[in-house]
Amino acid sequence: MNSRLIKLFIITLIIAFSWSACDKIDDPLIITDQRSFTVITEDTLFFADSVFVSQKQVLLEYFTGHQCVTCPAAGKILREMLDEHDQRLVSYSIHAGVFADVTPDSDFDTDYRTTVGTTLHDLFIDFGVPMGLIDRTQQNGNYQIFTFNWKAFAAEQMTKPNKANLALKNTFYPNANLLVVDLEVEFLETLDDEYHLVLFLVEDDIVSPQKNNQPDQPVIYDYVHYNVLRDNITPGAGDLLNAAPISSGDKITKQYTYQFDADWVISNCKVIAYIGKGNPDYGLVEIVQAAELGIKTEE
Amino acid sequence: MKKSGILKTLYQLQIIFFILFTPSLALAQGLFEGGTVTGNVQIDAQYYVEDDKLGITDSTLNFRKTGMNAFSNLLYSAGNFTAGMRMEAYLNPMLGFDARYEGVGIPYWFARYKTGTLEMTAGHFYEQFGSGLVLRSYEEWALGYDNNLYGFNANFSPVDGVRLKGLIGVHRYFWEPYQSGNRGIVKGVDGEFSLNELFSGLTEAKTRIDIGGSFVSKYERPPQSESYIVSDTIFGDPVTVVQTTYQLAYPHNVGSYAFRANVSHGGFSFYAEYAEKSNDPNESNSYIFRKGSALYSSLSFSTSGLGVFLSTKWIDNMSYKSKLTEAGTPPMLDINYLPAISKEHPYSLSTMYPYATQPNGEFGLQGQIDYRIPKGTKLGGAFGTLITVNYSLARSIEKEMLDVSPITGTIKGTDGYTTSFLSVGDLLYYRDLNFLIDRRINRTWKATAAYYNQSYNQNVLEKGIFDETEMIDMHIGVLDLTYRITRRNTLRMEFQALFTEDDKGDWASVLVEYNASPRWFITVQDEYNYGNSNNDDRLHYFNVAAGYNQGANRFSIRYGRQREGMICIGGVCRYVPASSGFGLTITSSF
Repeated sequence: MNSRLIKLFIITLIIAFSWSACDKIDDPLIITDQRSFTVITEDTLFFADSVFVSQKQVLLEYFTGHQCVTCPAAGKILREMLDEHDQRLVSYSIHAGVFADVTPDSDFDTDYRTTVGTTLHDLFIDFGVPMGLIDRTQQNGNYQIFTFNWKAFAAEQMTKPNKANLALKNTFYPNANLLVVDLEVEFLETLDDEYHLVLFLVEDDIVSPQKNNQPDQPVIYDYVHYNVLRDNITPGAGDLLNAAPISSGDKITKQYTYQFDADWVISNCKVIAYIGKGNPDYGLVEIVQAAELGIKTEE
Repeated sequence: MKKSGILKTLYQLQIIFFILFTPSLALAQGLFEGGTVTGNVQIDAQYYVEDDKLGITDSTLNFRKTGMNAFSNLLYSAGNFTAGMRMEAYLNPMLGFDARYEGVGIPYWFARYKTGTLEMTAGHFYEQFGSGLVLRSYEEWALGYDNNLYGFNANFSPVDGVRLKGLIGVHRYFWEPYQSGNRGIVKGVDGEFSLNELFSGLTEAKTRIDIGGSFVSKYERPPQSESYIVSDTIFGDPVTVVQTTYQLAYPHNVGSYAFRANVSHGGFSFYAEYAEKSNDPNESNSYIFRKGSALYSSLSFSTSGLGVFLSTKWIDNMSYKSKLTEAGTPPMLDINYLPAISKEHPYSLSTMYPYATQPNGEFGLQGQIDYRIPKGTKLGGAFGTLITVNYSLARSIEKEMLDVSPITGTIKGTDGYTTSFLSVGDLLYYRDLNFLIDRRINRTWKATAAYYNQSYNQNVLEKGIFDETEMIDMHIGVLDLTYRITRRNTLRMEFQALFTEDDKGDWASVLVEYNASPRWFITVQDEYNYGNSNNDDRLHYFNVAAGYNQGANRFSIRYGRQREGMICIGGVCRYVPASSGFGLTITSSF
């Protein structure tokens, strides 16, 4: 073989190896989260509460910030909707973006931001707050729903058929500050896509200053913040529920544990659960069911 | 605007630009003067009718009375430049074709030029490396199968005896445009070296040797894995519970390689190819992380009046798709192709239970002898007699299952099993022994007689259940007679019978076909499931068809009942549901 051929052969091999690639996975199961809980052995004290959702509930994710002057008006619309659609609307507030920034030594020195909330804000919100996502469903090609469209679009989503029942049970162990969430999803349709489950922890009735656009009241000092996102129990994009297509009647059960270690009012905390379609760009879209359940801390 | 909507629009604009401007660019440059345009069209249409016996009603048809699959190829060639496109329409897709095909559009277009020994293709293309163990992209209209690649493809021959190929692209997936994350990117290189052309000392050698190698890789943004939560209790005072969440670490890149050799000498030819694939957890293999491997080889010998062919394959965990969650039928996004080594038969009852390749583990073997008894001999008769004996076998490979993962509770996340290279398992998938005698009796009569003895593991091949509880053993006999009435008029009669005590029991079939060459044909056929254990299912599947040829145009119509079953071509299969109604096929080329 002459030298030209040898060179050609070597170049071909180099190109071939550099062009091809593979990832050798030595450890296929990686740890994504690890938490420790302390349990008192004789702990028989617990309080449980549960909810079963068998009709389509709509999720409104409200992006806000305590320094957002137009947000109190949006919050008012949200409250009206919650009054009007009791048992059909689930909502929580995500403090994220520049108007959620903390100003030290001021009325706005409390940080309501969360890592998961900021991630969602960066993924979905281009037009600033106040802004809503309703069932993470697009209206006119956009996921962002302006406040003046909330009522009509939420009502439209409520007419959709229920694709999944959701049973949620919270058991709280006060001695260990431990919450155990049991959940069962029953799919009512055959579905081909991947579905994810998200569990978030929110705290309701937080009273703290909120900027306002009314000249006579530029700051509402006793503003009651609604269902403020505090932490994620699952990853923000949710846990995968199904690796294979879902058949009607399929039931999936999950259990999660969460230990409170922050200075929150646990009796005001709630678990928000929702199921949606997995999406490579947004993590999760097209929510099919949502539920909300408080945490019982005493009889 | 929704991201996929924007991409679809851009893609359509791309095609319009390509169609509008390619000829004008060519004319402007005067480079491609004297170009030729060729093309062809095929329209398959069906009108469905309700059929109480088959349980087909308007409701089961989803009120779709008609189905129509059609395509048109258009090819423009001028010197070293070629451009082409294929338009397809599924309005609605005919029964048995995936509903996601519904629509009309141009899923295939390309521009290709050749300069010197370099040929470049931009757009959609089909390609194959070796026998396809690590890469094959092809289209099979009857199966509704198309895994064309959209990207760039290059073929280059730097010196005589060296042929190099390189490609990068994304697979077709129904009408869904590619966007980041919805399927992987496939890239590969292949080299083939003819030793006889490379070494002057071998130029005149009677033994011809070609060697080759391929490297293929896919990049995919894998989906988020399911989470597995494991709680460990550490007893003490107080008791501590450690809750650990695990997820599967899917590889972003899955690579594969193959080496092959082809040696021929006189009438002998030997081909062997070995392939390996890196860890590729996917829906088809239940997300195990073991490597895949495959060996395919064939040996043939031919001389005057005699042909002998032997092939074998051994496959372990070689499902290789550009999206790890893709599985099921129709098979889509296949990067590779695992050659089928069972014979494809021409008679309807002998193909009632066809073989489907099992990518997760399969040993296959096929042998065939064709011998033509010379004409003028006592056995050969005045015109000679062709005798064909064929045997094919597919079995499982030996697998020693590993313990399930304590984290996932299944084999997910493990290597799944161990096996020995070239091991053969106990589970029979398929076996087919068949004899065929083909003889022209005299100037007016020609006869073909065939016998098939087949065993078909229905659980494995149709349901993915790996046991032997649904084995169908059958004997099939065929007599095919052709009577030449005049030089242009022939009458063909086909008598078939299938005997089995399994599945739907015995079948008989009679076909009569009249040919008025070259323009007309008419066929009447009845398949009768007379041995069905359920009296109500002892149905006749009666069909009448006629066709007319006019130059390069062909029209055919059909009325009758289609039985349900599998259609397999090259081990790739499509399920065909039962139906009744009219069918129309028009083909034309120019």
